[in-house]
Amino acid sequence: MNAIQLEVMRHLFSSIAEEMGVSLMRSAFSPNIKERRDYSCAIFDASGEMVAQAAHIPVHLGSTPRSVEAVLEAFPQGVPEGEHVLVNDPYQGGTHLPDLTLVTGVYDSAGVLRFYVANRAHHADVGGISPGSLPISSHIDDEGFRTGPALLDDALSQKLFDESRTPDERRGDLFAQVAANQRGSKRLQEQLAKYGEGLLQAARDLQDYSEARMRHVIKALPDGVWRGEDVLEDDGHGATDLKICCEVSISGDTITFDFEGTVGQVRGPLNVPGAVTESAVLYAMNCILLDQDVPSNGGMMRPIKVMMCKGSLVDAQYPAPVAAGNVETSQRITDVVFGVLQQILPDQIPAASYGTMNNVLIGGLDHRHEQPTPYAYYETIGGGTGASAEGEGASGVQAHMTNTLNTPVEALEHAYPFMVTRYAVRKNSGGVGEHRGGDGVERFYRFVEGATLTLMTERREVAPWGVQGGGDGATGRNVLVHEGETRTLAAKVTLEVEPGDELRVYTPGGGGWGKAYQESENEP
Amino acid sequence: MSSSRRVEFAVDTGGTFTDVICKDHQGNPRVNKLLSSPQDPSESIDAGMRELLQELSHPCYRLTHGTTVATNALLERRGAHTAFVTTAGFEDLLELGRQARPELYALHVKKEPHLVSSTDCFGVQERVNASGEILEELTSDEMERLCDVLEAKPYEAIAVCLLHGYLYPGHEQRLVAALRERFPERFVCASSEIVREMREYERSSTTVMNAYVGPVMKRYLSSLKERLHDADAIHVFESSGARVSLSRASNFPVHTTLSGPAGGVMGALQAANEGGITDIITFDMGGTSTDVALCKGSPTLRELGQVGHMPVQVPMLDIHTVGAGGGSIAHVDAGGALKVGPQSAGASPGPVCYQRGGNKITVTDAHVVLGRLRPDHFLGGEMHLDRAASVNAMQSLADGLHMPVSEVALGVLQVADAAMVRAIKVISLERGEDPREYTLVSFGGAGGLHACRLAKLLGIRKVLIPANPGLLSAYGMLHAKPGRRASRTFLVSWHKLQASELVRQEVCDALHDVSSQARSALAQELEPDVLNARQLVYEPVFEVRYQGQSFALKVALNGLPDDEAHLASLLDVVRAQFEQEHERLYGWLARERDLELVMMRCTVSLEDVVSHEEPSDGLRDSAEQRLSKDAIVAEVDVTFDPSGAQSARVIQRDALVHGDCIRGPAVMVEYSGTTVIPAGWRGEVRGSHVLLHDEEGE
Repeated sequence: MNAIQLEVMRHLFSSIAEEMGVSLMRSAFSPNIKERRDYSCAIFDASGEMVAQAAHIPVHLGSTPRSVEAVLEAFPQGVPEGEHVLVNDPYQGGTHLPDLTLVTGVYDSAGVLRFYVANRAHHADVGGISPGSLPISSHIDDEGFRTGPALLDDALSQKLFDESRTPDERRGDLFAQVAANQRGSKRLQEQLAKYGEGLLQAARDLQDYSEARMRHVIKALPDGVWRGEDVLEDDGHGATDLKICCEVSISGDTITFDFEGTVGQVRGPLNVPGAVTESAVLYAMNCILLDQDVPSNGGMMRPIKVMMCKGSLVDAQYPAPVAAGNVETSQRITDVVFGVLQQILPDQIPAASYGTMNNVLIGGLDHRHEQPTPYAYYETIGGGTGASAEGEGASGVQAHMTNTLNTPVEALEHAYPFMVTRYAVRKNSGGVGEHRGGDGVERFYRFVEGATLTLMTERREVAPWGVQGGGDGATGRNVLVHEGETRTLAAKVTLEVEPGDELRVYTPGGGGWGKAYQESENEP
Repeated sequence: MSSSRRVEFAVDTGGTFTDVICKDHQGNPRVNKLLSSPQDPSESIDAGMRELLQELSHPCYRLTHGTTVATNALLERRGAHTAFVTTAGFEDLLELGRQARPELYALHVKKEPHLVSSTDCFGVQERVNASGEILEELTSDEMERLCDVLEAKPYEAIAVCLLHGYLYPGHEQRLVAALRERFPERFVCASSEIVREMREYERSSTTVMNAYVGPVMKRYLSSLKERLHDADAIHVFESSGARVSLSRASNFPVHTTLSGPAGGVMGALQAANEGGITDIITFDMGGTSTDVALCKGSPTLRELGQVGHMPVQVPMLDIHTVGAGGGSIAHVDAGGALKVGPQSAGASPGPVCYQRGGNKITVTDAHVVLGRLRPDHFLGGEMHLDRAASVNAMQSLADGLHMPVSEVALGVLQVADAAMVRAIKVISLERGEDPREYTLVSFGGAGGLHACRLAKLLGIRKVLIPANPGLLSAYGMLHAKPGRRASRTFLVSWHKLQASELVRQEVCDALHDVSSQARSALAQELEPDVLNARQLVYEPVFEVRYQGQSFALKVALNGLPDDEAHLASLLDVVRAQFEQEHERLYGWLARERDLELVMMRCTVSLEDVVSHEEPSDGLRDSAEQRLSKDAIVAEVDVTFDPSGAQSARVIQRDALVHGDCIRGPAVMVEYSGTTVIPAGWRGEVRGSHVLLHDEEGE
């Protein structure tokens, strides 16, 4: 394929993936998908290598391909025509249980399987021991509905609905996922009818193209070996200072990330399957690529090698719980990877960002309806991003492995029986420096009815680091006000709250860059 | 009739040109295109109209004005010093936005600030809940405290947006009343006066934008009014395609901020209607960007758009823009793919063929290389294009790719077309519409160069090239109708609507409120004789979704329901329509799931008395034969596709007359554009428009 066809085909594949995303977002039910856009859609070739992805969530980047890989292993003859395969088991191609991935085979008019389309959406509740399905678990079975690659039939969907606290919402979201894949299949079939084999060649060429772009970028980096590490604070079950290590070695146009030295898998839900670790690495490399137009596909991953020890925190094995790994550990892996890359590209890589998704989960019964209706609310709160040579960090945004939107206060108060009483920038929480880190966020919730609250947070003790002499960002804090009394909550906690209680979440700031001059004069 | 005694003008002021258009006594359009006067745009408006008035020796006139004053003030951040007031605890709303970063893979996260800095944001103690009940009263003491604080700084404008103000506007109303009393010279506005819809960030952003441009727009419009003191009326063109009074535009300028491309869409629709065509996709390709929109009988509206990076929540034509145009630069990237744009050579230095110092190959150069754009007919021959320079530059691009020059030039066009096909798919296929059922209406400087190829790629069989494509936007404004919309968020389940007479009564009342709000706004725009002589058309719409969804679908009601019993009888019809639309768009239904009314909207406009010009019968048969000899000015070699150059006629559009027939391969030239007509396409001249048919596709 020549330079022209390459670009024409890039447009074609990305527009199909995007159209799938629009279809999913518009017809989905849970605020997670429709308001916060916690989903992604992708196209794969028949061998399971990714061709194009419409991603809103970087953590899906490297992990969705693993789902398709697992589906292909389970269905060596291919997913039958007209069927959909559902998977969320972290030990068979999933990440954490709320992320349900649906994979559909795309057949041409001769009945030959040519492509796969897949979409992954975060379902707000798939059962488990606490509402929102991000529990402080100690076994994968605590976390809810789990399936390896299996044909989506009535029995399987019923099992999901039965386990979920909000079955109606699940049904709607699942419908939306099926519709999105059908839309993608239809479009690919139209193009197969038009281009035939040419479309398959185009897919391969696009993968080669992304590979070439990635090799080009790696080649520009110096050869050598660098090391770095950072910690997760605790697993919610008493294990603390969980070290994640990474050694980066560059040789010509290939790069290797070796996580040897990382602690073993833990009892609490901070473990991640290897797919999440690969996602974090791929995200960082995508940032370095500096061109958002390069199709995210399998080719991009070819020059990148990720090495992990089986059974470690970053490549956990059954039955380790993983609920929070996808959201918390993924952020820390990113910090570690960028920390190493900072040594290689000191003028480009910023200080650490707030480093946690500040997960808030609230569930219970909404008594405002005639019939008390169960609900599950899930939200991640942004923070401050790290400063760099380029300038100050940004305040109150999502960084790294997530980029979900907030739930508007007015929409939230309409949908759930609690209120937001404060939503503000947490002033002066960014690290000091020649360029200051971005500030975190303050978000307060007041409960109108009793509810079950789960917090899954990090960076409450170990601050986001500054670089080049810049100061650290402020650590975050979780506070509960109960009958006028204020107490600091643990970073990871599940508790029952009462009407009138107020939860106050203070999220961390980003690290500063460069030494602050005349710091004392600037202090108020 | 009073309207026949005066001249109707439309003026579209852009950054470079001011387009003036009017209809003479025979109803023929007269046009005047002159350089804009950016310091005071009213200067060139005045000059442009006076010239035409003199020609027509007519003293009475009326004007519809499309202005970019508000948009430019926003984009260049030259608006008023503005304060933002909201519910205490939410002062940082504008800074936080929706918390997402603009670029997913940016190493260094950069957020563009909103218009108001954090030190100019203020909170007031008050609170309303999601049912519209007051949890904390807004006290007079609190309002006074706020006024004292605001007094200390010389704000020119104040924007107020309180939580759940869309549901309970009482606190906002009291607060703006107090502010207006205390600061009569300041521009004060409340969110509930502009948009009664949920989502505090988008609503706040809209309100702040309105306040920020308010004083600027007020000054501009009053100077315009002064200069045109002898006009019978001056109207302003809004983003929704409607025209409104000066006072409305002065108080709510945010409604004009996306009106720029709306004129073109309305003009295209008008031109299509004159040819008896109702369903169109508009394709407006300029130098740096391309706007596309879909109209199914009437233009599609949406309620949320963006100016710069800031959301604005007002009714606007649903126009999709991509950063590809005639000036887009072609280059080969590090992975060996040919890219077109997003960088643009603009007008200066411009494409290589302009010989103004531009040395980067653009889409325009590719057309010149292939003979599609005629060097001696560009801008009516006023500007000569240097083909040799384009060929030279293209040669170096071709050398790098080891491909022949003509193949690379065609490739540049192919890549540009791919981006535009994708844009048209967004507004058609993504919204459940099949582009093959539409006519492509092409305009803008570069539209005609791409229209037939795009049509082919999309399976569209008809392309309309309207008259005066360079003035189409002003043409649309000339035909803009007064019409007003009002809306309100009203959340209630279908189950409750069916079960409760009381709830249905509330809905009926609210809908009548909304419609009379729209009606009285419209009445202000009209002279009493017009209002009395013409029927008003009410078009109420419910926005409905499955309970739990967040995107609602619009279902049109057939007129306003008389009473709750009437509404009750409509519920099943609305549900059926919703389900039909849901299935069409998303391919699935949830019959067991309850529906939810989210929003009611109502449009009020004057009944249309203008009948469409029907295409005359037999036109096609006779047209097959004829083409005015004068129209053919040359026979040249043009490359349409990889098969190589073909001999094609160059046709001068100005010499065409109604009934003429053109056969591809041909190139039709006129002052403001060129239309490439490949073999297999046949064009007929309808009135002053040209309709092209793809005969192979038929």
